[in-house]
Amino acid sequence: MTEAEARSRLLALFTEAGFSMVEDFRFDEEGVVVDLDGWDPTMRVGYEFISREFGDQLQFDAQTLASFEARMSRGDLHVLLIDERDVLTAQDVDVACRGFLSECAAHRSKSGIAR
Amino acid sequence: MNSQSYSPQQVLRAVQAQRELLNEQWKRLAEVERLHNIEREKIIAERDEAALDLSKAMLPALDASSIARAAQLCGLVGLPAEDLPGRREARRAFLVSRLRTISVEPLYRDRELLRHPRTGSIPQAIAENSEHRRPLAEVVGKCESHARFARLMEVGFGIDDQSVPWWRFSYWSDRSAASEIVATFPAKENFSEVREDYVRAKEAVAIFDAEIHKLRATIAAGEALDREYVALYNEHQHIDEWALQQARVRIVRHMLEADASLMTQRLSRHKDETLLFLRASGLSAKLTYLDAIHKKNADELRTELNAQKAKIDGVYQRGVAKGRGMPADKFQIFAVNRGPKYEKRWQRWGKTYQTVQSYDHWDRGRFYEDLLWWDLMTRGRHDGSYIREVTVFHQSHPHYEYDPTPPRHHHHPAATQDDERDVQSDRDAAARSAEVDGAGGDNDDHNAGDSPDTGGDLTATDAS
Repeated sequence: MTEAEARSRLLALFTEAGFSMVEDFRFDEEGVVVDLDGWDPTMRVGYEFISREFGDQLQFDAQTLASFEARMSRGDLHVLLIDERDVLTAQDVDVACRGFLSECAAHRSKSGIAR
Repeated sequence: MNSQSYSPQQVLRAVQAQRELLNEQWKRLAEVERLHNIEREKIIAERDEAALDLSKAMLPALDASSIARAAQLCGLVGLPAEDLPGRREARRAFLVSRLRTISVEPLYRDRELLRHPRTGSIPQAIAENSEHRRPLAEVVGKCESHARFARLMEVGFGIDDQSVPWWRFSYWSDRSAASEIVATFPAKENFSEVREDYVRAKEAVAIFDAEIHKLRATIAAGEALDREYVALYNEHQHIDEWALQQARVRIVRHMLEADASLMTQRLSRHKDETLLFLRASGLSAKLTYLDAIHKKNADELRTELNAQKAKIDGVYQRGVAKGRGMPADKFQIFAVNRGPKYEKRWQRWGKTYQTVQSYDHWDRGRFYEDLLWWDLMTRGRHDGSYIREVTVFHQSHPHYEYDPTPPRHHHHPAATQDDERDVQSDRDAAARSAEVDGAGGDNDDHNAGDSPDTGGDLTATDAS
């Protein structure tokens, strides 16, 4: 499936899980400025395709990505990161998205945040 | 279009006629090629037979006195010093020794026990190793057939699950792939177990492969010994015959590559050898000449036919395809029947070819101190300057002139009544030719263009 189709599917799945997704959100926190493909500002959950085609790699350079992932390790936010080299099938997108959302729920539950 | 022009339809008919004539010439050329190839095969067989006869007369046996005589006769002065009989005996001794060595080599001596395809111990060991290897290779094959398996091994999936964090899409793809792979191994619970099995199987397969490769190499070495033994045994069985044959080939090659007149002079006191040499030398020359005649004429004709085709195509394009027709003066030149012109060329070619092809009076060569077969075959009446061997002869004999009745003949000690008759026949033939020449009936290479054709035809079934 194409990136556009995958984005559409992710939006549907995140929405179905109760998130209020904003597409093409300008994320600007602690000096990290990136455009996220989908982001729920309240729940601080989202998804992002990192592809050279749209210049994402310029934003998600190694340093930005490291600092972004460090914040995810701490549980500040959760963004499903999809690399352009990942082979996208509908089933893979579904499995990855559901797994990611379930992992998010587990982390929230561990940190006492109600969903 | 004015009244002085020919219509496109008329031009088309002329184009068709010219194309038809060209096709006939191409077909005839192909047939001549075929006939020449048949002829040259025939001459090669005759030449080889003549060379064999000569070689037998020159060197009846491979002993010192026969070699010395042959060397003296043909001028291969270094030959006796090469000690061919001694070298043959040394080779024989080597063959005996090597055959003995091979015969006691276990790989050769015990070849049935070791290498028999069904019962030999080595094929059996290969079968056993292959049998043990098979289930391990299946594990490796099953794993490696999954498109994502190599990546899972690369990222260490199953060793450290945290190497790729869970918010990466690839983490989930890896998990899915690992599940799929584990599912193909019912006895395994997770990818770690599969990975361990795979690593062990991969190592074991490599060990079995190395062992099987070694066993196969042993079989190959044994087979090489078999082949060597057969070849050397065969050589040992025929060593006398082959050594003699090799020496004969060298002698005859030397004789045929040398100046034919010098070689005839060297052999002059040995009539049998002289006649055998002249036959072999003459047949070699005949082959060279016929090849050269054929090549020259075929190449020239091809060039001309291709040029004519280009002309016809041009006329067709301008006069027919573009509907312009053709002016009368040009049309008359274009539409002229070129058949007779081609026929004259075929006749000229055929005459030269057949003159050389039919020649077989090899013994006449002994009357010439400067022997140029081309002139004997053609009685000096055809230009052979396009033949390299003829040109080389003239360069090395700048004062040479062909004499149809060589003076040497009159005093030749070996001249017989038959020889006298042959030379008289030559004289008569030369006189007849001169008469024909005088009447304007000759068509040799120097004046063929201005006389009617009476020569040979390379393909015609009705004799010209």
